[in-house]
Amino acid sequence: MADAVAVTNLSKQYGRHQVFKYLDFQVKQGEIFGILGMNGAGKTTLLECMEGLRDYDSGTVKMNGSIGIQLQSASIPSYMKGKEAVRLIAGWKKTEIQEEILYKLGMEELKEKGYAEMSTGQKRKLHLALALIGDPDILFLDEPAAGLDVEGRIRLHRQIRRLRERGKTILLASHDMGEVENLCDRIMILHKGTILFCGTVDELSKRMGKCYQIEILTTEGTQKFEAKDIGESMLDILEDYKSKNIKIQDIKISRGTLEQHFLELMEGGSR
Amino acid sequence: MKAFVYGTALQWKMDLRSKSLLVTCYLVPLLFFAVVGEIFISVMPQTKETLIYSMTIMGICMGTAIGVPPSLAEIYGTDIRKMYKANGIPVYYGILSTAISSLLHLMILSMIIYLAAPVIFDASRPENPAGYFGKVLIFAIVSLSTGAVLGCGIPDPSKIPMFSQIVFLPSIMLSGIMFPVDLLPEGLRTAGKLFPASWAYRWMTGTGSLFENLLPLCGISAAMAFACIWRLRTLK
Repeated sequence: MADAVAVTNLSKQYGRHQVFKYLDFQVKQGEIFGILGMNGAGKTTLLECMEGLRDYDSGTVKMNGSIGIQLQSASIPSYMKGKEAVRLIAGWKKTEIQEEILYKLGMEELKEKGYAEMSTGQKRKLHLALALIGDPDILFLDEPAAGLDVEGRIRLHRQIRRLRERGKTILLASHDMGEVENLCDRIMILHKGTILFCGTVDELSKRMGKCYQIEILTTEGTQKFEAKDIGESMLDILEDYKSKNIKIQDIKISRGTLEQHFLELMEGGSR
Repeated sequence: MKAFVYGTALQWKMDLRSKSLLVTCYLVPLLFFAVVGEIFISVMPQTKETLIYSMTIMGICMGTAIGVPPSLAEIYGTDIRKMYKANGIPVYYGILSTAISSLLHLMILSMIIYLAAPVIFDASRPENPAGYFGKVLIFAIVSLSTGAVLGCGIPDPSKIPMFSQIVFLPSIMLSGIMFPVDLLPEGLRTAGKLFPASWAYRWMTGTGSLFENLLPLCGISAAMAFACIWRLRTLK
């Protein structure tokens, strides 16, 4: 699959503070790419450099398509209504307003509402709608679910998955590990201005040397196992239970959460 | 161009929704006009000749020094600017749309004063209305450029009211609209020349030649425009 975004040797410095140095990574077309990092790791600065909102000191950023941007902290004038913001942005982007996208986002209720009257969730929804105007190929989402309630979060995640199904490339920066684990095809972990990891969550688990944790509930109690290879180990365990004629009631398999891996990686990175 | 026209019309609508701009562009200047106009006419009946000029200049000074900067600070001092940039809106849009919309409001205010003053206070109308409104338009543009610098040039929006007063008070106290500049000490008279209101009042009342008054106004406007461009270019 072709690269939608290619970042090469990207560096950025604020005075004496090096935000990031020689970053190299690619984002494939049609994937959801998560950017993770502690507070101040440079996620937002990196996104803004890629979006062209901020200058960078050296390196290159190549975009293979049009971009839409939802900023972490964004605002529109207090007295502007939802529909006016949509029309204003569509006008400057020289594009038609795609009613269908706005309808799916639930923008109907925001059309006549002034920005100052909107809840945090509604504002996030409006900013996502504005980012989608012009049907961009690449979408930058910076903490898209911040301030959303559970329902809003579920709707947003559904919308993001739909966008991927339509072939859109999505770069997502988030603190929410669950969100990133659920949505992202690949992740990149930034720490102290460098890339600590770039790949799938599964690859991260492997790299962290994580075994599968298997928990089996039977009529005789709960037993825990650890296995490096889930397929063969599970077969052995199940055959053992069968031969002993023990009835299995429930099986839980986990390989640790992204959050656990992330924290371990951070500890390692800080040392 | 279509997007700019829509954006400017939208700004006009938003200004009507915003109570603060209505207060600074209409309510307070018109209240000032009603109260101070009455006092002026009672104390010095000869001010009938200059009442329209002085009240219009006061209204424009208030609208541009106190009303416009907070509207611009809402754009340039907050994340609105970043959001505009992210969505392809040029950096100058905020200033131009706000300035054009405010200019229309200020011209309406001037028209209200022009029409009401003779009826309420028996004030004299300018002999050449077209020439008078031309001067008002030029003065409003120059004053708007000053307001634009205050709105986008002060990094901390909470300090804007203080800087607005630093421009507004000398504008009305030292320009001759409240009392003749001849009564002011030399230093204050010179300081008053830094503000567009002094030159506009001289021009409207027929003191000095067109060139003498227009040149400083153009100079102030050019300096302010330069400051605005520099500020917009250096905004991170």
